[in-house]
Parts: sequence; structure tokens; C-alpha cells
Amino acid sequence: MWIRTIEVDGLRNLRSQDLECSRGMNILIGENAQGKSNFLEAISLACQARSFRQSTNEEILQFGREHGSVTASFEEGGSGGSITCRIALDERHKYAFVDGRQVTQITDFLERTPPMVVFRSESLAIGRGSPEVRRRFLDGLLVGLAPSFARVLRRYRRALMQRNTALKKGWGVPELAGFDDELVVAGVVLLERRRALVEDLGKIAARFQMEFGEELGLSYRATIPLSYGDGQTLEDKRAEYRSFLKRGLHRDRQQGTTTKGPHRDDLSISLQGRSLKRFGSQGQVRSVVISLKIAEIELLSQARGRPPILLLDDVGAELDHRRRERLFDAVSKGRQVFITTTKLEVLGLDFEDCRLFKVEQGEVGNKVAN
Amino acid sequence: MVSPVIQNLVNRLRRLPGIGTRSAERIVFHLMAAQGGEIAALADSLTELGERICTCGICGNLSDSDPCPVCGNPEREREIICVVEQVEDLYAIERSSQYRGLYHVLGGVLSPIAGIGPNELSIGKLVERVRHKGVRELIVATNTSTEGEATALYLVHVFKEDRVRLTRIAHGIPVGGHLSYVDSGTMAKALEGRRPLS
Ligand SMILES: [Zn+2]
Repeated sequence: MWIRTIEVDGLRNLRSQDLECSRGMNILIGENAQGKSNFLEAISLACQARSFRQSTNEEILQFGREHGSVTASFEEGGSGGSITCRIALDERHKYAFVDGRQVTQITDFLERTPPMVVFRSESLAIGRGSPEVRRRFLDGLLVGLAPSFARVLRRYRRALMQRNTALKKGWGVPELAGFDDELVVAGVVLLERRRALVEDLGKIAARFQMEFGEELGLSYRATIPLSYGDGQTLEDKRAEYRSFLKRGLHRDRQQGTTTKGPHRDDLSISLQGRSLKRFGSQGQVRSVVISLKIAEIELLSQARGRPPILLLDDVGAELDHRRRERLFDAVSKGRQVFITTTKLEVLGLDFEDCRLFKVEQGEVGNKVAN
Repeated sequence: MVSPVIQNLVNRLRRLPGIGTRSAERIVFHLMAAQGGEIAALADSLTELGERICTCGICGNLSDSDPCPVCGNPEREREIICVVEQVEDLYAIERSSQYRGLYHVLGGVLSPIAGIGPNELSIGKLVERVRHKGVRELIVATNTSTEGEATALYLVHVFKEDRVRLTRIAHGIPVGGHLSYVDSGTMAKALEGRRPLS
């Protein structure tokens, strides 16, 4: 599935415009702060109903505008079917439409649109940043793999927020029990999905890292380490989780927050047997994040049966020649790519099905391919 | 320049659920063009609503009588009480015409964030009804939201020493779904397939 046309109106510094895209490589060239990344953000909005920058509606809306929208028409690879997805927003809400009909469940929207992989300089924080960045990476990928997972996440966050507030207000055990239960039900699923994902991701990413002669290891660090014994039923796992919560209740009350659970977990990454976060060089962090991103692309292609759309924001300069080649090799196989760069030479490669766009002062103009 | 009389009514209508500026204006223009005392009839209905609607002292339903038509109906089964969050949910279940028992309106659900604890809900009154009126079964029909589920579980705790049987309204209602949006066919099935809470 690929984006044939994209129409932007009232977003960031972008001129209102309608663009036809290549089903292969789309290169956006321009100086800094001209709107290249804003255009990628608009694409992410059209596919995922949210900005990869986690921006608020107010930030996304063009100054002085009350409404904005992005409309993308997607083309299915073989069957030739097409759908049109539209996200409209005002300062407070986003509204999603598929083929002109409003969709009120985000899950229903995500099931219709292609998954997406974003790689930009901020992605390097997966290697070095706080645990929260890695959790967000895992959860985002889980939603990409199965959009209905968004419900589990929402359920967990809601229960957590309610439970934490109840803890701060000193609610008693019986009043708290229902929220504990909600937390347990969603938490067990969340833990299980993350563990399975880390295993799958680890295998693929390690294979890519091996091409550079380095051994990559991923492991999931759970603050509630369930035993996952043989023949354990779902009910057993919930009971185990519940007993962890119960044991931590005193401490949770003192601190006024739920001190253990998936919201406090981390993905631990090792390279050549040493912690990447503590000992990794800048170059190693880059290289590992690329391997993770390539693994992300592979997993999404397998799981969704449709290749993800790739957004690469100014990453050419981040990489040495070999890694760049490896990345482009992995991304360009029959996938639609949007890549931004300040200089074409940085990409330094020829692509088939390539379209060039010049980005200047918010205007994305067609340029004849050279 | 818009007439302040029109603007005033548009502003009032806009505060109603599900009505935006555009729909509010449409309603006002419709009324202005309407013939045969439609405005007066509507005004009378609104006045009546304001003056005569009261809360049922037994179940918390809203109607023009206390006890409400459900509680006052001798045909209804008195040993079964269906516990709902809001009066709207009671109406949604009534629409299915499958249910012959009584109701109890909690007036909300447990929500620490919203500052709603057990004391803010009409749980004490429910306990009284169960203990003194020979209630056999409580069907807990709170919504399937986080708060609705948590409230259902809290009720299990409240009645754990009592002989009353607690059941939870069954599936067919989407998770996170709201009862008032459920069509009556789905609602009938949900009531039929209720499962015990423990
Ligand atoms: Zn009543």
C-alpha cells in the first residue's frame, strides 16, 4: 500500500498543496527550516492519526488557522483498490475519515492505513535515552503490528492513572480493588506482548548487526517478573501479577504512585556483551538503532502483509557510507520511502522510481528527476 | 448584525449535548419558520419538564412521579434489580422491553480522578434495598469502561456477605462502550447472557 497523492491544508508552515508521490523513493530537498520535516509529519498524521513528534494540535496548526487537514489517497499494490484517508483537526480534536465517512475508533482507522516506520535523529534516543523512549518504541511498534493493541494500552494507562490518583487520595483496599483488577488484566497482556516482541525484534536485529561483525542482544527488564511457568493459565498469570501489586501496596501508598509494572520497565540493549546505554559510542548507538529500525520494517512487513511506509528525516548525514548503503538497501525493496536531505550528494545513490521535491518556505515543489 | 434574541437561543442550544453551532442555528431557523404554535408547544413542554420531573426516592429514576412508573408498576419482578450508572442507561434497557425487574441508578461510577468515591454514589441506598426488600439478584449493568468495571467489582465486595446473586451484563457490548448507544437487539442479548460475578 502506498500514498499516491497527499493534500495538506493549514498545517505548520506548509502551503496548501496537493502532491503526487512516487510509489518508490520520494526525496525532499531543501535548506533547514523550510518545511521538510513538517511535510513528513503531515504524512504521519495521514497514516497514523498522530504526529511522530508527539505534537499537540495547537503546534501542528498553522499560525492563525482554526482548522487544518491532511488527506492521503492510498493505493493497494496488486489489487488496484484505493482508499482516501483524511485527518482534520482543530485546536482540541482530531477527526478521522476513511472514504468520506467518519471513523470514531482510532483502531478502525489504523487497520485501514499502512503501518509506518520513522527514522530521524531523535530515534537515536532509543539507544541512549530514558527507558520511556524505549517503552514508547516497543508500544508504538506493537500498535503498528496489531492496531487493536491500542485498546490494551489505553486500558492500562487509564487504570494506572485512576489507581495512582486513588493512592494519593488514600482510598481503601476495597475501593482500589477494581482498578487493581483493570491494571492486572491489561498489564498481563501488555507484558506478554512486549516480551514476545523483544524476542522477535532481537533475533532480526541481531542478524543485521552481525553483518557488521557485532553481537547485539536485547532483553526485556520487567519490574513485575512473572514466572511464565509451563501450563500457566491466564488466570494464574493474573494471580501472580496481583500478588506483586499486593506486596507493593505499602510502598505504593507511601509514594502515592504505582511503583511497579510495565510503565516502569525497560528494554536492555547490549553490544558485544556490554550495555549500549553505558558503554556504547555514538557510532555504535547509531548502528544499533539502524538494526532495530530494519528489524521493525521486517516485522511490520511480515505481520501486516503490507510493507510499511518509511519516513527518513535527514538521516543520511548521520551515517557512514556502509551503514547508509545497508539502510537504503533494506528500505528500498518495493517500499515507499519519503526521505529529506539538505544535499542530494549525501544520499549518494541512484534509485528507481524516484521523484524529487524541492522544499522552500513551506512550498513542496515538483522537480524533474535527474 | 445578528439579533440578540436569536443569538441568545443559539447559545443556549449549543450547550446541549450533541449540538454544535450549526445545528443550533438550524433548530432556531426551523422554529422561526414554523407554523401553528409549535414554539408555544415546545415552550410548554420545557416548562413541564422543569416543573414536574423529580427523582424517584427508591431507584433514582427521573420521571413525573415518585415512586417512578417502574417502581410503581405491580407487574415488575421485585426480586431483581438492575444497577445502572445513569438514567440514560435505564432508558436504553427499557427500550429493549426484555427486562421485567427493577432498577437502581448509582448516579455515576467510581473515579478517583473525578473525585467520585463510594460515598458520592447511591450505594448505601442499594444496600438497604437488597437487605430489606428480599432482592435475589443484582444485574450490574455499569458500562464496560475502566471505571464501570471497577465499580462492578466494588459492588461484589459490598455484597460479599449477603445472599444476593450478582451478575454482570454479558458481552455484545463493545469494551469501553456506552450502554445508551447500544441498540435494543444487542441489549436484549446482553441481558439474556449475563454471567455471575464473583
Ligand atoms: Zn423508581
